[in-house]
Amino acid sequence: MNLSDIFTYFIVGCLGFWLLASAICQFNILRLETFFRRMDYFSLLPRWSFFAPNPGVTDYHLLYRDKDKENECGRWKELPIASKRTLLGAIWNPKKRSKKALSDAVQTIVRSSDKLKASEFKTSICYIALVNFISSFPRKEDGNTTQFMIMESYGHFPDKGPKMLFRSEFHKI
Amino acid sequence: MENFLNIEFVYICMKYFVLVGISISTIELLYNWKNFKDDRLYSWKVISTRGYFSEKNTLHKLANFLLKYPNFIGVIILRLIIILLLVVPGIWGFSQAPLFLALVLTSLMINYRSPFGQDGSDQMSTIVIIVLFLYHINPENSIVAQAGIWFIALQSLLSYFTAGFFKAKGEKWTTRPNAVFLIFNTATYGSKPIAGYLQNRQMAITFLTWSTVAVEAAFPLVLVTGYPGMIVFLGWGLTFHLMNALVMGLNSFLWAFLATYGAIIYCCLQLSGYWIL
Repeated sequence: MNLSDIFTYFIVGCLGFWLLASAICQFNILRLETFFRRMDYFSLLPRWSFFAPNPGVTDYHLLYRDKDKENECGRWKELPIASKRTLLGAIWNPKKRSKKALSDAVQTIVRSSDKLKASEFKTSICYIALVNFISSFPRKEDGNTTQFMIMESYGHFPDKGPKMLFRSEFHKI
Repeated sequence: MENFLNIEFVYICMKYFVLVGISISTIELLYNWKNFKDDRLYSWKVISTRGYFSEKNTLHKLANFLLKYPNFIGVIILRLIIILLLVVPGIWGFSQAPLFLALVLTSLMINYRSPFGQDGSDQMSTIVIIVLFLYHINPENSIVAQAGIWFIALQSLLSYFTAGFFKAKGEKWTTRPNAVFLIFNTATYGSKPIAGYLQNRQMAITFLTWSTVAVEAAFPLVLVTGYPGMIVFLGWGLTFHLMNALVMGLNSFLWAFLATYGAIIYCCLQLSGYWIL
């Protein structure tokens, strides 16, 4: 067996293992999904269950407000997560990325706030990233602290009113 | 159709479709360059605290140098230059393997730098680029070339099947089939005119919802349909991704998944040869 054969078998073996690991991660075969995902630093194990089994049927809204030095709370301001759909968006849709990032971060906080202790989800990347992002907005007056809130609404033709899902503590800016 | 039995032709199709997709997504990343500043959502100061690697690790030091702002913008510009070298004929007169290796590395850096905001098209594009790199190391190695094509085809079929399988377990997709309307009704992924049109048309909603589940779950059957049967599945897939791009704004999925269709056709034609025998 020469070097070329070893290279061939190695590559074919790697591709086979990668495909197997991908399948295992979709269906959590032998409960190995967590084991594989923990080592997947570069997102090489895909998640193919698009919009399933429960599709996202609500819109998330991210709002924030500041509290000044006199402990007076300002008005809630909304950071838009959804963008207006255009025909050009089928080819060129740069806003999709930042909106998706915001949407993913918000969803992760909502999910983890149910499952984890406050001390755990408040040190998560998504939570810190959101606080960091909101704190960076230019402000007319010096706010002492800021707070964010996540709400959900039920689309263009809603059958019920919006609902609050999560409200953070006040954080120093 | 016989062209798709030519391995080189399949890889050329794969290459150009994926390069169109990643050039759009790379320019979109550059357009959003401010997102990578330290006071924005993709702050490296925040993301790097995940601490997968020890700070003393050389890999950590290198990652820190390449991924911090503004250096990371340089990585994205480099990626765009590599894409240009691969797309424009005659500029790069050497093996394409080093260029694909550089594309793979920039893809891994982007994936690592983006713990949120990535989607299935980014994952499929990364998979396709890695296979293109392996193929270009030695294009004469037909075993690796064929393994790469089968790998891409099976990953693509796994993606459709997984999506269909899990949809079949969801109430909104099966017993109360209104998922398509509910998704189109959202501002995040939908469209008000389309949702308004569908609102009181339950038959249309049921048809769209059930057909999505059925075709996605049955998609792996494309391998045994042969030609022209495969046109039904691939035509549905093309229409599906075009509609998703138009209605939902999922532009990059179209190119990432089209890049896998040449491999699916190759495998389908290979297998249909066996059925005839």
